[in-house]
Amino acid sequence: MSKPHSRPEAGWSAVQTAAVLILCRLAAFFCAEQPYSAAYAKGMFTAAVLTAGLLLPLLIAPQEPLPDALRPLYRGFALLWGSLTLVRLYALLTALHSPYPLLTLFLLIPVLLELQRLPQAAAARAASLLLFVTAAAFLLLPVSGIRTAKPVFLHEPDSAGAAFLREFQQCGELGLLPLLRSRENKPLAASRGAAAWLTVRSAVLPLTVIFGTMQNGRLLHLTGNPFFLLLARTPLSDALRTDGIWMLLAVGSTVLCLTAFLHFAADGTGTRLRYGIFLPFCSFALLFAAVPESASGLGAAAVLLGIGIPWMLRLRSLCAGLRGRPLFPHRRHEG
Amino acid sequence: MKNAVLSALFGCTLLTGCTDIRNRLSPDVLAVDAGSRTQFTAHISQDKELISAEADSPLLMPDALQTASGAEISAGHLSLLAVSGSPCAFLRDYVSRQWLAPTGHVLFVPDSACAALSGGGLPTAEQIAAAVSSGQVPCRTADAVLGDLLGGSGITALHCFDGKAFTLALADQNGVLGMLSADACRGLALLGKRWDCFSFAQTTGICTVTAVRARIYTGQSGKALTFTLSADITCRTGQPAEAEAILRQMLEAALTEPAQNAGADLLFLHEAALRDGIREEAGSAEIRQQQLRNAGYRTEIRLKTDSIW
Repeated sequence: MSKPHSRPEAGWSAVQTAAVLILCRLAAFFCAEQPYSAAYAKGMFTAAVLTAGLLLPLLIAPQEPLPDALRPLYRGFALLWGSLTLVRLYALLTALHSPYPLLTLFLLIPVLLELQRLPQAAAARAASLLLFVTAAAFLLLPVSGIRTAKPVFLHEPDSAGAAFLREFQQCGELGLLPLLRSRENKPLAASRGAAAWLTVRSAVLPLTVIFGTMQNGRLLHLTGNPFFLLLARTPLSDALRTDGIWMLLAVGSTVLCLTAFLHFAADGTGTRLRYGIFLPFCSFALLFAAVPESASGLGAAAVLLGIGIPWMLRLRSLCAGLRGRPLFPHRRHEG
Repeated sequence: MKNAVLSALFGCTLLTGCTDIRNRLSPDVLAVDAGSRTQFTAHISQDKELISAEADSPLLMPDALQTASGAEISAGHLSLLAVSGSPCAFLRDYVSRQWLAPTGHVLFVPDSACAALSGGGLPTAEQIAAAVSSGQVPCRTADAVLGDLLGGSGITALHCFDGKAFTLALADQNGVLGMLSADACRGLALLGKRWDCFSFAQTTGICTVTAVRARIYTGQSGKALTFTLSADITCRTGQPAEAEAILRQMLEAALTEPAQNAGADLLFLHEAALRDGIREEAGSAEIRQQQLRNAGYRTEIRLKTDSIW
C-alpha cells in the first residue's frame, strides 16, 4: 500500500469500481441463508430500485467533498462490515462442509495482512477479472436449469417486507460509496461503476432469486444455503460440474470483499495503524459470531452513510449556493 | 518477495480444504435395510467392490462403513440410494449432510435392498434414468421426494422395481402406503415432461407423443376444491380415438390415484391452488391429505395428430 504522502494512485476505472461493488454484494448473496421465494425477489427488487432512485441524483451531480470529520465514521463502518463479512465467510465454509473452517480463517488473517501492503489498484484489478468469470458462470445457470424450472412455485407465500429490510442488511458497500467517490480522481468512472452496481442489484440478483425459486420449489423448507442448493439441482451436466467453480467464486468474492473493506478501514493511515486494525477487526468478528443481533444496526448505518449523509451534504451545498455564501469558510492551512 | 509470501499464504489457506484421499473410498450405490438394526451394503466406485456393515441408525452410515472397510468414507458421491423398510425416515438427513445429492436417485426395494445389491438384482442409476427418458416413470430424484415430504402433503412417490418393470411406491415418514398402477406412472411421466420419447402400444401400431402442454386449474365451491387437468397433446398415431382414450386413462389415473386415493400431492395441486387465488387454510399434513381426498377431479384432453409426412 502506498505511503500516505506519496504520489496518489491513478484511480479506479468504471469497470474496477463496478467490480468491487458488485462482488461485495455477491459475497453477501452467496452467504445468505434465507430460502428463495418470489416475495423475496420482490422485496429485493423494491429495495434496489428505491436505493437507485435516491442515489442517481447524487451520482449525476458532482460529488460533494467529504468533510474530514466524517471520514473516521466511514472507516469505522468499513471495519465493522469487514468483521461481519468474516463471520459470514465462516458460515459459508461450514455450509459447504469445508473440513477445517476455523483453520481456514486463521490462515486467512495473515493473507489479509499481506494484502494490505498491496496497492488498492491490485484488488480492483483482481475484482475485474473475478467479475467476468462470475458473470460467465451466472449466464450458464439458466442454460443448465431451464428444463426443471417450474413457474408454479412463484406463488408460495412469503414476506416481501422482510426481504426489503434484509436487502439493506446485505448491502454494506452502500456505506462505502461516498468514501469511494470522494477519493477517486476519476469521479465519472466512480459514478458509472456505481450505476452498474445498481443495475446488478435491481435486475440480476432478483432474477437469480426468481430462477432459484422455480428450481428449489418445495425445498424452501430445507435449511441451508439456498444458492448452493440451486447449484446442486442444476449441474451443467454429469460430466461437467460447475459447483467447484462456484465454491471458488463464492470464497474468492468474500475474500475480495474483506480486502476492500479493510483497505477502506485503514485508508490514509500509517503502516502501524494499518496492521493495528486487525485486533478490533477480529474482536468485532468474535462479537458478531457470539451475538448475531449486535450486527443488526449495520444495515441502517449503511443507508445513513451511503444515502443520508451525502444527501445532507448535497442539500447543504444547494442551500449555501442559494444564499450566495461559499460552501466552506476560509480555513487556515496547517503547516 | 511480497507476491511470493502472499502466494504461499494463500496456498496454505486453500489447502485447508484438502484431506488425505489415499485411503478414501467413495460409494456410488448404497443399499439400506432400515429396521431395528440398520444394514448397509455399499458399492465402491473405485474398485467395484461391495462393503457390508450394520449400525443402530441409518445416520451412522459413514462410521459403520469406515469400520467395515478400514478406509475413510466419502459419502457425497452417491448416485443411487436403495432403501427397504421406511424409505423416507432419514432422507432429509442424508440430503442435509450432503451424503446424497438432490439429483441422486432413490429406489424403494420391497424386500431387502442389501440382498438385491449383493445378488446383482438392483437396477442401476442409468437404468432408472433410461426408464424416465422413455416415459415409463416420472423423474423422482431425492429433491422431488423430499420436496413432497417437506412442502407437499407429506406423502411422496419413489421409484420401485418389481423385478420386471419400474413403478412408483407411495410412502410417508412412517413407511410405504401402496403402489401406483402402470397407467398412473405413465401419466405422471407424461406430465413431468422429462421424457425424450413417449410411446405406447395400440390395437394396431403405436402412438408416439411429440408434445404436451398441460395445466391444472383449481376451482372452489364452499370448502370443496375441484382440480381440472387441461392438456393439449400432439402425437403421431393411426388411431386418434384409441390414442385419446388411452391417454385419458393415463392422465386420469395420474390425477386421481395419488391424490384422491392416498392424499398425495405429486402434481403441485397445492401450488396451483395458491396460484389460482385459493386461500389456504393453515393445517397439518393430515388436513392437506384429507382436502385432496375430498376434492373433485376432472380431465380435459385435446388431441392433435402430427402428420409424419
